[in-house]
Amino acid sequence: MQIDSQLVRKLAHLSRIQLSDSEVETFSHQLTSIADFVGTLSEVAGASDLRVRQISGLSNVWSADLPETSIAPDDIIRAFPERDDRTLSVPPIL
Amino acid sequence: MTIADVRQNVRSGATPEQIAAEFSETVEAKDHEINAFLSRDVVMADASRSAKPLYGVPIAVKDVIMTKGIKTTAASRMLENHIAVYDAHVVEQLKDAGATIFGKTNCDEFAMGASTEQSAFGPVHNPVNSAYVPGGSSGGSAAAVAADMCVAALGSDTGGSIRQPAAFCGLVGLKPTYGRVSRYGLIALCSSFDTIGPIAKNVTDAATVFEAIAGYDRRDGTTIPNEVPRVIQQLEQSIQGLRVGVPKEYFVEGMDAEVEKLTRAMMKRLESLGATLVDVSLPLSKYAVPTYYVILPAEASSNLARFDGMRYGTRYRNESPESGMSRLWDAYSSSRAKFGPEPKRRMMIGSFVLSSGYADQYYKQAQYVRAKMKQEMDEVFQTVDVLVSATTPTPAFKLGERLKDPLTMYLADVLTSPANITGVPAISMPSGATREGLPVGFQIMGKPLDEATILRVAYQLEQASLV
Repeated sequence: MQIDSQLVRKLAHLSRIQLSDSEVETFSHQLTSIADFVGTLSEVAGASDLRVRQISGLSNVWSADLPETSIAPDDIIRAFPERDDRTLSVPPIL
Repeated sequence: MTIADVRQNVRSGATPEQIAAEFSETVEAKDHEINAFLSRDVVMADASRSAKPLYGVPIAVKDVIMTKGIKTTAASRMLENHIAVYDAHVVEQLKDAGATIFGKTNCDEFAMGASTEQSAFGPVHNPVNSAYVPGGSSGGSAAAVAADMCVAALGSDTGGSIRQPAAFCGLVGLKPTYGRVSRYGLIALCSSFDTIGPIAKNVTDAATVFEAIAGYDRRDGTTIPNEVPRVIQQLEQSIQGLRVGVPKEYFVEGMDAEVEKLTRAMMKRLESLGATLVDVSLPLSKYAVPTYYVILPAEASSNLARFDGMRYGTRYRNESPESGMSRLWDAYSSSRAKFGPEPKRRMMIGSFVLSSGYADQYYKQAQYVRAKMKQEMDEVFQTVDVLVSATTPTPAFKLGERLKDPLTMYLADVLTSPANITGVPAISMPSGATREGLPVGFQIMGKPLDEATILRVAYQLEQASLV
């Protein structure tokens, strides 16, 4: 499976990452060899058998909806990358 | 210094402050060469916990685990100034057990790697021989313990990231059963594989830390409600009659001859302790690494989507482009450009294997193979109590040796990733060293929730090697 530079750029867009031209070229080679390697999984036959898809044996877990102490808002606000007092600043999009 | 040594010191009147000061001196003397610590912030043991098993024991924490008020970076530029706003469950548990939280350890960025060379803050050097890697991704945790810069450390293990560095540094590393230890406060890599466990100098210390951190936590819906058995009390029990499976596929092509010799010597020692060796076969093992490198990037690409430069972490901005939506795209993509090469690679592979047109061929196929591997493992555990192998096919490699070729690096996980894919517990312990003096690890895998037996086997082997 050839992952050419056009596909690398598409995957970078899907991943919301900016890449330089030299990165595109390096990743094209590396991702192609990785895709070929993981492609060997197709040797294992029987994937249409839906019964074996679910292996965890887990079921949904429910917990009581009770009030509890949450993380202090000021601590969370301090972690904002940009802020104006207690307001989170984000880039304008309009 | 081990946990027993710390207890002895405390009994002789040493305070947690004095014990921590002694280790700080070692860090000061050694870490400029090793680079195991990203933060040296210490949270001193709570004096009200003086009767607890880890009282005053300095335990370092891998920097993908939240420590309230202390910088938690995941060894990434994306979080280089991030101060954690809460403690992970395991950190709460360590504090409750009386431990001193002794700094944050270096690792591969977002725990993606097998050598700790992918850290944004420089590689870690193996204390045994500084030209070699300490393994990864919990390489800082292993190096810190091996260089006696702390007593024990927490690591995370998604494909071998506790066991492989423990093997490369001559230590004991335990990956618990998936769901045995809460992941609340662990920066998620691959949520269905991630586990947290100890790296320690001996089996008893690993068991002691395991007992402190294991158990149900309502904040992690995947934790298992079963009671955690007192594993330490079982260490002394004989392994006479235990059935030990030897999977033939685990003597992989290209295995180092010295590693194989040391592994077979450990098997002989098990026989001399009264265990019975049984040849078993796990034919799907050869698909473990490809399965791992489909499912992991798929989950990682989703988990890392939260690092968008908006709510926390680092934000980078270029000069604003004109239209609104392209400004938003620019804010995301220029912030996320600060991810290192390995996270970028894995997010793109994840996007690839999940994308329309490729998902059936890659992601769904990998989930199918995973299910078959789990079935295969369950069947083998009907006939044996534990499985043994080398932890890694080779000893530590040189810094820089595998960095240019990601695929070769991925193959370091060949013997460790099956335990993550199938969720079973596994431990690595030292089996000896090569002629060059590089440590080699021996792996014992157990049935789900049966950490007690693998710890007991490891303890019995450890005691036998001391005779």
